Amino acid sequence: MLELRALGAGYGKVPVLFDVSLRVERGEAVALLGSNNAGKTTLLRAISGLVRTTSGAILLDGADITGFAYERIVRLGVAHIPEGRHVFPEMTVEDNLLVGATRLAGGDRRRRLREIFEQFPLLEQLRRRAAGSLSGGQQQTMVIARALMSRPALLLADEPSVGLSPVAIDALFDVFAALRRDGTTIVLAEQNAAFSLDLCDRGYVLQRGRITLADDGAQLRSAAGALHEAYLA
Amino acid sequence: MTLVLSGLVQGIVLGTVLALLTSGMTLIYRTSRIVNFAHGSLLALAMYATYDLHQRFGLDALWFPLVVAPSMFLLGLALYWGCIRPIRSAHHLAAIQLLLGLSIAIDALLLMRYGADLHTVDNAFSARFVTVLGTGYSLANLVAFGVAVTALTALAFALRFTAWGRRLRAVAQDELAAKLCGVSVLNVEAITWALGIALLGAIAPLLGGIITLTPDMGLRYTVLALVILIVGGTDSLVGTIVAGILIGVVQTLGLLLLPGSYGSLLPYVLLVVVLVFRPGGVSALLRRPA
Repeated sequence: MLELRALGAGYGKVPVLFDVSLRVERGEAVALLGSNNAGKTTLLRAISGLVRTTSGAILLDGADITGFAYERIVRLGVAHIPEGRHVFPEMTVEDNLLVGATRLAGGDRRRRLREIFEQFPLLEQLRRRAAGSLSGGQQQTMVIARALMSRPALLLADEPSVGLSPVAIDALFDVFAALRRDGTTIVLAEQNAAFSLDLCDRGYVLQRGRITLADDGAQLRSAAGALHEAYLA
Repeated sequence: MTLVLSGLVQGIVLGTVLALLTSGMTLIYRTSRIVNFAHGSLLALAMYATYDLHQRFGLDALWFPLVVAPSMFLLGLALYWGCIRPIRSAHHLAAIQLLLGLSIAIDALLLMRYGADLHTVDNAFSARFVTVLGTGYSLANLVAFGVAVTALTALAFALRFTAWGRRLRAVAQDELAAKLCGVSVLNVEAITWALGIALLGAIAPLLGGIITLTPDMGLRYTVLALVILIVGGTDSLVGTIVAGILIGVVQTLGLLLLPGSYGSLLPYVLLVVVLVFRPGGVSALLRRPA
């Protein structure tokens, strides 16, 4: 599904990622663990085309998409849930969701909206509300639903649990678990290791812009020492 | 009393036209966060183009929006791709300098080509009058009013209910999220510039009875539009419409009722009052999902 080969990326002249290689198979959920500043957000943004890559290659379903513009990558079926929610605050929930369906044909957007409302009945009740007036948990649900509006093949999620109450985090977990069951491929960048290790098959640890550990969930968990070190770094 | 009433009607007509002229500036500001300091000069350009076409071909000015609006649309696209896009991530003063320079260049070219004389462009309706509340008004001005109302309504409708409008609002409210939804920010900005400038071309040929052509009008209308943009609150079309009408009425009544030309100062007094007491402008007072 997704393959990174020796990827380097950064902002302007400041390099952030060095030689990052990883693979995500179709239907997998893969955790990206690491402290703040480890480069998780930059890595996801490089895949989405928001950050310029400086070396290496990004392959999606075997095709080289390195250097593609962000709107082209969205059209290829990659959805990215940014850190910090990023709702369109003064637009209604319904309009927020419809913007998420930009890659679909005009007539298909309303159909997809009905499907999403079936999946998230809460959002249907809130459809006329301004997104900025929703609670944190509701906003996060809406942002996930907005990403799903495009019927993505690959979902990148950046710290979706940050700033949510424990109850909202449980609800969020159920949403992701349901996505997994439906076969959506997920790359989850989280500082909340318990959250991502419960959800994902395996994971990578990113430390100062490099992959320092690649393992399946059970081993990642037992390698708590290494992980702990990664978080302190 | 009749005087005040007729001033009020004239002010509403003028204000609605000003609101349409400013609406393009508002849309451009909302998406690109750049104030188009060449807006008034582009209006002057569209009006002189109308004058020129009228002189050359003798066609009635009523038909000119069909030619001038698409031409201004293309000019807006060219301005965006040629000048604005290359410097959009530079310091924001770069765009201001560029647009002010463009404005001065347009004004100078108009002065060189058409001289400093005042001109007006009449159309078939200029000499026909209708009586409203006891005062006669040129039908041409009411046609301009009608076009402005229609265009503003269409614009508000498109912003609210079309996919294009949703994309524009998305870019205005959260550029990063809009990008991740697959909205091409550059395309949205380009269309906004083109449309904002095309609106000038749509109304310019009909303003013969409202705005007199002088080569220095460009910067004056830029400043007036800027006042309306700020009084309206910079981020909403409805705010711009209310502010435009407010400024039109205040200025017209001021000129009628105050001695000399003190009335023309009133829009700027209003600007200061708004900035001191309600910096969010009209749209902050009307805030609701849009």
